[in-house]
Amino acid sequence: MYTDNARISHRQLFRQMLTSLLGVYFLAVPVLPDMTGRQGVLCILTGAGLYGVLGIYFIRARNTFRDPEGYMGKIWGKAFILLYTSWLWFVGVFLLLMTARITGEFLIEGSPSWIVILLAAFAAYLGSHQGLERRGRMAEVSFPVLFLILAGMLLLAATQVRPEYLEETGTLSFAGWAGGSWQMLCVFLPFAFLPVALGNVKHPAGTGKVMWAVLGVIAGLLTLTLILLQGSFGLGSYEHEEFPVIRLMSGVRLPGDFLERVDLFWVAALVFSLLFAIGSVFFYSHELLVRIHLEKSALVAGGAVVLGALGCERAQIHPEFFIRFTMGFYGPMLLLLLLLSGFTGKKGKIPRAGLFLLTLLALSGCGISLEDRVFPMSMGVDYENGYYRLSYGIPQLSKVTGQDKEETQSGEEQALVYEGATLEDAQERFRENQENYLDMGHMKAIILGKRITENREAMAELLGFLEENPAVAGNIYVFTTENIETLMSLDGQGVDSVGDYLTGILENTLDKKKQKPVILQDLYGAWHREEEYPGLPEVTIVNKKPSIRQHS
Amino acid sequence: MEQKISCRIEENEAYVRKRLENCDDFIIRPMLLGEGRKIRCLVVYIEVAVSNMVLEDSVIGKLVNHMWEMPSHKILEFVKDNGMGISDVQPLDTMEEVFASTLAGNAVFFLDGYARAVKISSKGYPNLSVSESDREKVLRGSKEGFTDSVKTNSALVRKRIRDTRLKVKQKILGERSQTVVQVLYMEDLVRPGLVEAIEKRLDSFIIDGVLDTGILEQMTETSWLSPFPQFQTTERPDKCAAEILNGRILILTDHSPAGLLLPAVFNDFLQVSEDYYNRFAIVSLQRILRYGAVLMTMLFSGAYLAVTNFHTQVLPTNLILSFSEARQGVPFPGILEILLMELAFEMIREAGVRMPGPLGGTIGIVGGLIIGQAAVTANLVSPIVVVVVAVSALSSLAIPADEFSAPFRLLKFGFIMLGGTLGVFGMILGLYLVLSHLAGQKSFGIPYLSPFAAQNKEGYCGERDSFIRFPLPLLNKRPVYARKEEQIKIWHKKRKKEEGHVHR
Repeated sequence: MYTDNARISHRQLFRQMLTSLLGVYFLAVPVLPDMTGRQGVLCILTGAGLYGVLGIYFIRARNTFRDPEGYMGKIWGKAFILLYTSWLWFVGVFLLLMTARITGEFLIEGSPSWIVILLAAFAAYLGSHQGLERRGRMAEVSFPVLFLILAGMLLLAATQVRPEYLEETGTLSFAGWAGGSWQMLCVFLPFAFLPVALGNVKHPAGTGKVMWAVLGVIAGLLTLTLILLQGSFGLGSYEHEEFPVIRLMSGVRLPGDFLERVDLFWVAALVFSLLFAIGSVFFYSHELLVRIHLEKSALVAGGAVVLGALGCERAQIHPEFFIRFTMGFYGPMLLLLLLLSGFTGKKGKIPRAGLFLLTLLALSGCGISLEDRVFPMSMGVDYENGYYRLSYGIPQLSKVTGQDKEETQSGEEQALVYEGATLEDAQERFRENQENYLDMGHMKAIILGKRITENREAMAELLGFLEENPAVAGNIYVFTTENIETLMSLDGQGVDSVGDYLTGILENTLDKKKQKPVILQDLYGAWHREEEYPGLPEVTIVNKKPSIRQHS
Repeated sequence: MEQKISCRIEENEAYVRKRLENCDDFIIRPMLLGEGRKIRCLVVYIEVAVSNMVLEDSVIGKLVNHMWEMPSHKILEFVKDNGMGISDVQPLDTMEEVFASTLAGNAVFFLDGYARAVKISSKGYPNLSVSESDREKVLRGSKEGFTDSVKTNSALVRKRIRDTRLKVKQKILGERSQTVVQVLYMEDLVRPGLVEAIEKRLDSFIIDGVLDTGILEQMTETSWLSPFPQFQTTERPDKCAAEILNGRILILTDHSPAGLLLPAVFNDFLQVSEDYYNRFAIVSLQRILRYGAVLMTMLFSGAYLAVTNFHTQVLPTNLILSFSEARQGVPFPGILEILLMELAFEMIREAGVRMPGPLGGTIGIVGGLIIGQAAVTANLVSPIVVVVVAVSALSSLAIPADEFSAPFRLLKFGFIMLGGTLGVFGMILGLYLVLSHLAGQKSFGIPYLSPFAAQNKEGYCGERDSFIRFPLPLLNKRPVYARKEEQIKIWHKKRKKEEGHVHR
């Protein structure tokens, strides 16, 4: 009524675009087939540049989106908008799937995907039809925090970079560059939402600068991500992963180390961005359907998106399918349609809340209470006669924490040893014999027996096993020893566990020793790049205390 | 049809007595005046509202004394000529006006042979005198707080803004309560149409009684399902005066010491009047603490559950082991433990608020220390949960306005459910929903999230008075809700160049 916010400002538009696009770009772009090394950087810049030029044209064609039937005629207008909207729904399915997979893998281990999809769609759908200004204000407030987390942690990740990895340049071919640039152009196509929104933006003709600024920020951040991925893992050691950028963050440490792992915040920021993007899908879908007088079908369309995501999840469709389909069908089709468009010339709140609560209740119990977890601080692994032997060094809680609760039975065992033909078998034995959940998120050291270090195949299986478990951080120190069982049953220094004790010694003597400590990430890199494994520091037992041969 | 006042006092008396049948708090006192006591008159008033002193001290009281010895034929003439047009008396033509005046706490005087009545103004019903507000105490600044009388309250504001451009529009609302409601605003600063909009909303309902500003607030807000307030309440006249000077509107209601300020956005609720009396650096720190308190109130308990149930890797190892050891032997799951303690805190708070002063403090100590300690000793809850709930409770108390801390206390329970069942994913979902709701919220057309989400209008600098309070000379513009042409509020005169340092 008295507000100046009837139309959103350029600042709100800028923040809104970045809030909805950053999350999906960080996840999707680094795994595109041609997006590695200098070629990847070149493709990002070319794709962004091309889209920047096309953007001017799209802004000029905005009137077609405001009144498609008036400009194209009833049938063609409807067909154009329906095709465009179908792509939005397709993107919506992809985003919901990504949210479910990330949540299942990094936030709620083993959560039923269908519930996550339903909850995410529910949250994103609420209010999605209430105008662009609401989304603009939401983005305006949340973007600074989101950007601080996403970009700030990228900068912190730079501390993991190894200069020798950056010296590798990777391949560069014309076909690769052209293919990669096309991929980037298709990835940037969500910007094509822009003309739909322009009716509600102040000075729509001047939004070109905003779009270029957004392209610049995104291209810059993606380039930085590629450089960091290569610098941290080396070429050839991260491309096979579904979400390499999340693994990149698992090694990030905050100055002062007041939190153990901070990658959770990054994943949380990504999920927020994905939710905002899903909200955008619903919003633009509604906006487009209004233009062809089919707004009543917006709810049904939203339902179809959710059903699509549920179906794809059930059928275990890989996200790569969506990327390929966009490159092969929607990318060219929409580009063509957008170009053609320039030449055309002329409620139930209570039941919903109830459903939300019911789904919450269905999910309750996924979390595992603290007292029902065991926290191994170190893990010993050896391989003999075709069997893996896993030892978990579990600290005595009352000793480590200095609390002396009566009637507690926790932590009476020091080292728990289990055997199995595979590592999964050995871990299964552990589960069968323990009432508590194995939480590997606080492991400080992995100690490998001599025999497993000499067997490359067994090592590969171990590394694959550890890599699949997102709770195991990449920056855990790795050691080797001859007498693994004795070592695992030792106390560190009275109150410290072996893992803490070894880490302490190693970090205290880092500056003075020539031999660098080895972390799990180094072993992953050597494994994927099929290189020699680095030499591991050796742990011996001196006076019933663990000692690192090269450091103590 | 309105009942006219009759010339015959018998008719008037009969009518008054009929209307006031079984109203024993009313005094209907007939008198005979003049030489030989031939002229009949009648005084009607509420016993407690009008004291005898008031009657005697009023002009009409003095007239009555004078008329006591006056010849009968001159009395009527005397009243007609001298009794009207004096400041504290007013002629009334109808019986409806008579009862309205009497019910408002005035006395009414009838005279035989005179077809009008005379209202004798009184101080009205008993009221508390001006005293310090208990809800909004300050270390620096005026100690005056609003009282229950609307007229005293508007006078307290007028005392601070001695300008005829401060307008006070009065309305009577409530079919039976006949409550006086006043709307105060600066004529030249308020946005065009805003006064009309609030008047329209005030006239948009008919209600039996308006007993507090809270009723007006709930009847006139647009998003009545939202837990977030769309009016700001205050009991401090200095705050009201400052906000009126910023272009806002104040609504005062009789019998309520709380004034309603509108429009009201998120940022306003985290500001207190003292903020502008102290130096900017310390105020900025306090503002950051208040914003932090909002987040802690809403998220801390839920985040504890999310981290301990789902994302243990976030916390330092020793801390998580410590938490784990502390949880050993506690029979309830974490979510129930937190819910129980949070509810216990809300109960302690509720009990403390209703208790008389000294007892309230005792309840706090008993609840906080003894129950908390006993619960830990009995292994009902772990010590860390007591710490979490205490931090969350302390944060809710650090939010200056109770009406603004309430929605976050309420949302906290939602976040406990989300964090406890869905971990960080649930917290993100919740934050997304809360943010989405706040982004859609408006108070009289002003986005609730302004100045953070206002238009970047040319020259607009609302952010200078948000997380950080800039030095006062730099806060030279009014907030976004003031009239556009009157944005500047501090003009800097050119100072003469000060004398240079004298070197000896």
